[in-house]
Amino acid sequence: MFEIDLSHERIKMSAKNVNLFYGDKQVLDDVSLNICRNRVTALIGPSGCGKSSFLRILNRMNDQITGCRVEGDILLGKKHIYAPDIDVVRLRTKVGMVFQKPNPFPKTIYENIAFAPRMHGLVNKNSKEEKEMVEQALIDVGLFEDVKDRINMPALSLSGGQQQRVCIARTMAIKPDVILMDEPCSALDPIATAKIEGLIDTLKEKFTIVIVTHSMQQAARVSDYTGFFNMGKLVEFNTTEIMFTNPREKQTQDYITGRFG
Amino acid sequence: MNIADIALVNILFGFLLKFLVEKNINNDAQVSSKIILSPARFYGYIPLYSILAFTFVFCSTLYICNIEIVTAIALDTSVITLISFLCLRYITRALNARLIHDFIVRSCFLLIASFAVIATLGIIAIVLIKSVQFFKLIPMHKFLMGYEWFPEDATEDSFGILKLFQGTMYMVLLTMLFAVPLSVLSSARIYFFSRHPKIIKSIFDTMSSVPSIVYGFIAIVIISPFVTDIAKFFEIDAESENTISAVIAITLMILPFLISMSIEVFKNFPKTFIDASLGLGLSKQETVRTIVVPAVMPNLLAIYIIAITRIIGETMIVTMSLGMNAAFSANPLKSVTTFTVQIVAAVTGDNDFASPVFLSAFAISIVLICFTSILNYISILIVRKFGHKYAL
Amino acid sequence: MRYKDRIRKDKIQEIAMNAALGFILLAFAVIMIIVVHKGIGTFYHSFVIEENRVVKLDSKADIYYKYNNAAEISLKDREKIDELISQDKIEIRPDFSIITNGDSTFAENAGVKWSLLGSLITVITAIFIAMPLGIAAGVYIEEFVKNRFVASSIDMAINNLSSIPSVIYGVVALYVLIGTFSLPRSSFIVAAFTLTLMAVPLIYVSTRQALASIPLSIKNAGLGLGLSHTQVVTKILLPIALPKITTGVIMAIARIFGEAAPLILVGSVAFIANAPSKILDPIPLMPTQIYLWTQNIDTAFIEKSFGAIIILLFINLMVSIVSQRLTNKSEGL
Repeated sequence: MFEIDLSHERIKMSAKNVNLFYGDKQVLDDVSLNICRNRVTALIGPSGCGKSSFLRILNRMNDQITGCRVEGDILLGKKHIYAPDIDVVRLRTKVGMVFQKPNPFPKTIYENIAFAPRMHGLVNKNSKEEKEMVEQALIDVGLFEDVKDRINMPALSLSGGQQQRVCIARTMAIKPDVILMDEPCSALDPIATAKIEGLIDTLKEKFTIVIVTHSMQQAARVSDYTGFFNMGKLVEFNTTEIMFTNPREKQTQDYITGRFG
Repeated sequence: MNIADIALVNILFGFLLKFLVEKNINNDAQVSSKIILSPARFYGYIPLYSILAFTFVFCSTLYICNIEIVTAIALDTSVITLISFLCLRYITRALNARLIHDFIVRSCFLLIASFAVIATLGIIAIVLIKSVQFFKLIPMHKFLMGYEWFPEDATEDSFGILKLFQGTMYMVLLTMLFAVPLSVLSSARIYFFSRHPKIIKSIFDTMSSVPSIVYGFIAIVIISPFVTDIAKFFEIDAESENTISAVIAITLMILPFLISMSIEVFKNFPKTFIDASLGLGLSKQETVRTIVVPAVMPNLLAIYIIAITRIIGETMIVTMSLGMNAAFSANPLKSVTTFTVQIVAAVTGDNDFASPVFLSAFAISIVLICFTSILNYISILIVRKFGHKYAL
Repeated sequence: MRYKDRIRKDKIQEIAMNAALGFILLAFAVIMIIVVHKGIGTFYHSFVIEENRVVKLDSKADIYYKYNNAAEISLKDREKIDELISQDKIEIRPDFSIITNGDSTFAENAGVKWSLLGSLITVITAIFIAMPLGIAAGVYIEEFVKNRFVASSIDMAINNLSSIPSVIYGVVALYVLIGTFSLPRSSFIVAAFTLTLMAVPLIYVSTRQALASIPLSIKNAGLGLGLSHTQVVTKILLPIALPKITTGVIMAIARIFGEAAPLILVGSVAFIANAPSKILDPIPLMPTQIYLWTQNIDTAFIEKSFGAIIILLFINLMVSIVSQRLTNKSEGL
């Protein structure tokens, strides 16, 4: 593993020598990488290589899986997020997640976006701030023009791409530091995918983004840094440009040129 | 000034305290410009819940015991002051109030849930304990292996359940003999070959919730005279309490349930298989006969087993139409007896709660509980092992 | 197989299906007609009309007049009635005493008023208590119990309890309340307790099924937004499950409204003519009232029983329609 020069970047999250076990099965083996602030970091690799599991470590969503054991250090800023005194719930308000299959709540579009901030006490119910926040979130994801007349309609009546954008909007509304995206476009058609990729590009000004994707083209289009995982190991991590034009490891080269995966 | 007034004042004070604590926290946060660990409202809930809990306990004890109103008010005021002091002192920004609130909510759920669990487990426990008492008086092998049942004698040999078992199984057999073919044919007819399956299904759904006492009454007043009249016409001997009337009544009772559930089973069968079959040139009738029914057989079987548990547990119809006489005859024009009837018989009239007659009701109950549990488990197993997992 | 044989098989199958369905519908229709035919007589009664007063005929005379059934009327009374008939003094008038009166030893005055009210109050109380118990148990075991072994054993126990014969509840209630605590038979508290015991497993099963049917992605979405597990359960999962739980509660209501067996065992079949005023007073209930009347061989009481059954079926129909409407509404969501 070559160390790359990140001295010009600010590190938002970092992982050092992380091992992840589901019961007896080892899923991640000595993974170390840094997530840079206000950049998009992509994680690529073949199916089952552990990239999704690594993503879930970052906001402790895998705590729900029985028999899950994490070794190593994972830091958000300067805090170890697996320390015993960390409130997991508060962690997840700082590190949000967008899932593979769009999963808006069976409520109205307005309610979907306003729900979490209301729960966290950021806005009051039906207040002016709440309405403005919802509108701003919808504008930020580019949905406002499409749905402003039916903002009180059920979110499930929207198309897949629109639903996923609602999910992104509601994650943004609680103003996390980092947004994790687990193959956000894999259930969408190409046009919706293109819209979301454009959205990711604008999002990185405000947020730090980590995206897991099985499409190398998407990683090449969207990200600043890319990490290639294979069989639980982080094989290579570098700027996207170098990864896709001149990778250092042979495995990386094989994967990118399509020889396996 | 009475208990209700005290409660009301406490509750109002609780809301006041909630407001004060929240204001406190918000001011504190603004002054020091540090974030608070949980949303402000959770800090307010803690004093509110404490005061509500205290009020509930306090007023209940007041209702039960008799304390002077003046002392009650004094006690109440002092406790409320203590609570307020503790809250205003210890509920600070540094506290993660959401954790405490979540704990209180979960504990409330646990408290109420434990009542439910204790009640249900208690039922099983009581039946078990009483059965054990019964088996101390009447040995278990004589109970399980004995044939004759006449509790009036109250000897060791007069509590044999085999006759009851025979009667119950006989009824189940006859009922399922009629009900299964009728239900399969009609549910397939309704789901696959009629224009408005939903309406007909909802009719049967409604019918399946008719209480069994209605069918019991119909058995006595309509079916039994009809059967005895026919028997008289053919000059066959028939009792007015005959098995066939009970079987007809139980079949009528269980048919809407069977049809409704069978239609559900057909509904869950993926239509693509039917399309494939029709596309291969089979007729719809053939498809139903050779593709659908064999494929959903495990699910149908599971439903039939559930129906059997219902038939075994059926009390009103058999009590009303067969009487409490412990008899058995393979002649459907005479009467048989079942487990449930004898439970009712054992318990009717004046009860000597320690007599073997009364305790026999518990023994039969535990047999029934075991039966039903085993049958339920078998039905789940059948679906799990033999049911298709359609990868669609 | 030749084509003709296949067609023949299909034809036989089709005839069998039609015969089965036709037979079932016919049987139910015939029974309904007989029930209505025999029960409609409760809603009108014969009266003697004289210049200044109207007298209600007693039940035996009424049966004689309405159905020309002289089996139970004495010869003397029969002659009296025949004379009144020839004088055109007897009239049939609508009579709703079955609804307006309580029970009575005289069939012409017997009614289900107190039984209906008794059933209503008892069932509502039972559901009122059973609902929080069942829902809390369902939620806790589905979501909050850490040890899955404990959770599945308790779940299995309550599931089994929901399908055991209802008499067993009656036996247990009889022993616990009347044997051990010496509460009076037929009292409100005993009936309510028995029905509550019956309703809790039913509501528990509905709650668990409702919660289990919510896709895991919704729960993940809530957790990913920084809500705690308790908040996800109370603020997201429970509201989504509520329609299904409500349907379950209504089905429980329908089920315990018509339950007779356990109530007979705890003695609710005593003859109760007046309304209860205290919690320990005896209270009549619809299914046991019907049972009591069926023990009476008077033709008049049999007629009344049919009438009461019509009323019970009507109530059942209403509850069933409400529950079906709710199911359809929640499925369309």
